[in-house]
Amino acid sequence: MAPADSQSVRSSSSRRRRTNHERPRTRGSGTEAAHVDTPAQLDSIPAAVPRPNPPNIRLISAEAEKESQKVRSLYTSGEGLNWEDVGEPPPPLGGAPSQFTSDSPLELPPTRGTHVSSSVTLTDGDDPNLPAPWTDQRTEGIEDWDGINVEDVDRYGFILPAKPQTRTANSEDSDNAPDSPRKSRSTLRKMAYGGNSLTPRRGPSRKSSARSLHSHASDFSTATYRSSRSPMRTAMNLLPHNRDRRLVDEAGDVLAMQPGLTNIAEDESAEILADEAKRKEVSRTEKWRRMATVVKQGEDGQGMVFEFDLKHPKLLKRVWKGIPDCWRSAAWFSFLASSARASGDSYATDEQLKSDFLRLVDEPSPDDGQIDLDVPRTINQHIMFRRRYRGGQRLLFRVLHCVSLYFPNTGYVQGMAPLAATLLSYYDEENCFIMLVRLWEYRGLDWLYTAGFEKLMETLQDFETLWLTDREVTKTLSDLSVQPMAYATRWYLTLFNLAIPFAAQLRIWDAFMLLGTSPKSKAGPDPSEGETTDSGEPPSKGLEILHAASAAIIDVYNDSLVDSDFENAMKILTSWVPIKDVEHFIGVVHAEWKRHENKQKSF
Amino acid sequence: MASEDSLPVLKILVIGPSGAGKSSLLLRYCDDQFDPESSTATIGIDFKTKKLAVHGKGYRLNIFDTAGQERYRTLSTSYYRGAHGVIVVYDISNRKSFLSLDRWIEEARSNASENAVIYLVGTKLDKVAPGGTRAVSLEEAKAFAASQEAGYCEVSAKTRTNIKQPFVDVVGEIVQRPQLLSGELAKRTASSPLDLNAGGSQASSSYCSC
Repeated sequence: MAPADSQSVRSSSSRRRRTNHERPRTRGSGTEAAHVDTPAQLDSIPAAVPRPNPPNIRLISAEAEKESQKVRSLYTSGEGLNWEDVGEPPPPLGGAPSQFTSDSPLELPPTRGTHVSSSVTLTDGDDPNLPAPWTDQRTEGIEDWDGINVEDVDRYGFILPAKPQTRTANSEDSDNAPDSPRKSRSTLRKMAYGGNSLTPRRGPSRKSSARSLHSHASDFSTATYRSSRSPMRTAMNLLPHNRDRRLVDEAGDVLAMQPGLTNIAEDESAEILADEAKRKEVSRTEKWRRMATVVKQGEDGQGMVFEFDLKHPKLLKRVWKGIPDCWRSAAWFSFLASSARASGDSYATDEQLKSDFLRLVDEPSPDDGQIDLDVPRTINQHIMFRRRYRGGQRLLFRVLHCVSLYFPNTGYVQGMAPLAATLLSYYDEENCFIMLVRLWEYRGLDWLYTAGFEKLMETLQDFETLWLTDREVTKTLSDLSVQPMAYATRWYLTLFNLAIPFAAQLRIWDAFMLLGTSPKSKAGPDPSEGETTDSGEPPSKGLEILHAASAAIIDVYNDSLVDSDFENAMKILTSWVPIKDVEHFIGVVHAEWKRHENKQKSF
Repeated sequence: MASEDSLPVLKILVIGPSGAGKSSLLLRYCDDQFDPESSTATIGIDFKTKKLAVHGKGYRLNIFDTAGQERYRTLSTSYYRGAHGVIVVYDISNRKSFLSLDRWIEEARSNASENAVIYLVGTKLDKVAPGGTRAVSLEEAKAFAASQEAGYCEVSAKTRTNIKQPFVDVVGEIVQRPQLLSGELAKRTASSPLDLNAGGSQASSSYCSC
């Protein structure tokens, strides 16, 4: 919860000006002191092609500027902040931020830590079990380990619940929705323990309800799922060439409990599975190391930049199998950088974007109040984002602040925060900013976030008409008027961050970073027209991975949705999807994607 | 419960400025949970249900929780169609939140059906409780609500204070308005609550007190 006095901070500006003020190419001269050295630096950068116009400066009212100033001062901490300077006491979180890190670095969760920068050292890449470069000074203070045991944090930095707790029973209506993503803590708790004790258990019934949904996740017999298919089709699905169809038909199984996968300590077979997964990741890590080319040597093993040949025959397959976590940041960075270079016209280089970041971070943004409101409630069960105004929260604020200025037509929009937070668990702030800018420009996020959300509507329309056809469930949903806008808005805007488990989200991102393109770049000579072009391409061309992942979620719930009523359909689809078997889920996404690609080819 | 499915369904929309505590209010009311540390901003909409008995008669509430940021208003307008009640939420410890109510009520008036019940809720009562600083006095808030012909109540999702009251009041008011519950509207509510093309009834000016 925000401290009480931050409320007064926010209450200063009631009407902010959203006018975007076109400015000539004079840079770095905001209404307050900016980095004067920035323009000079920029001019000296040997850009091969002239850059497009630098981001406009947003005009800001005096009131909003005052608010911005106040809010930003709260985040100025970083290194050696003197809190007295801003008249703000530090949050009452005791303990030295880096105490844990420096004392027992080897016990930190494996494979995390590439967040320090986009760099991956080669030794790091050799073994996912080796701790990442924790000694890096920049790590210190970003994470908040106060009161947290290392075993209670998963490999991605999310704090796991300490012990199962039964929900307070005085809710008069037990007919609760399934886990909502906003209750992420309780969600994690429920997932870890199968949710058995948390909801009234019910036998399988054809009439699906949100209650039986929990049973699905825990002990619903998978046979029940298949029983709704014809025996012939089930048998045919066993044939090798029907593998994809089988994956989709059995999509409901992704919610099934994989014994032990979620509760490792208690199950031996789980250890075997985990060992197997570990072994696979080690071997994949080696394969990725061999695919990588160093394009820039960093200093002291930091800041090394890698590139991956997009034409490598195995790349696509390996991406679908999942990028090893220690290579994720490097691979994503490389994929987006390739798109930037391939964009044909001028593009902003890493260095240019970095200097943009450094320039913008000191300029006031009319969105600072809103960003400040959202920062503490973004992925706050993650070890990086716990401490108010500091660590990951500070980086998150700075990055969102800069993005709000870099894209003046969009500004800051809720939904950006979880994207930035996800990236910050892999990159430092400058590279996170670069990634966000490129996601916007080359992966169609600018399209999805277009003011008024008209493009998002078109995209969801595409999803309904091009991906959801030929399914029984589509008719149900359409009869019930449960439209994608109601349930998929969050999926698309946050790239599934608030919808599925983090590990599954990362796998979707793997594919999207490689295969996604910007819809506008395909829209022909007039990109402002969202109409289907002469080539017959749908407006959202380029976002197929997002469509495929959305279709996969519908597949997962197919049997529950087919004879659902409005309430249950809404509950199911607006809630967190408790995916247990990530591999199977990605298999369904892949199958959906291939099915769509084949359909396109056959035209 | 056998009669569960046959309960009349009432559609309630919850709107208001970002950070006012709309989702917290609903999470406490529908699920009796409160966890500020794991709250997140609402993207798009959220959906909740709750059974409620008023004057000895049961109802099923379908509650739509909307995103507070202004940018999301274009998405929210399509949910007004068929809404029986609109609860406008603000934070009593935040003056700015209160000052934005004019716009939110205007938003509700221009999109919801003419007879829809509009109700005002002040949140975070616990923060101003003993010795805390209120940004809006009870009298001022009440006077404002009265001027809008809206009911008013102050709640705390943290302490559960008054948490049921807004919903009891709203349903109590809805059932006083037979036009709202007429078969036509109820049917539409059940069958097409999310019609994208719903322009919303524009005939709202007659509702104003002045």
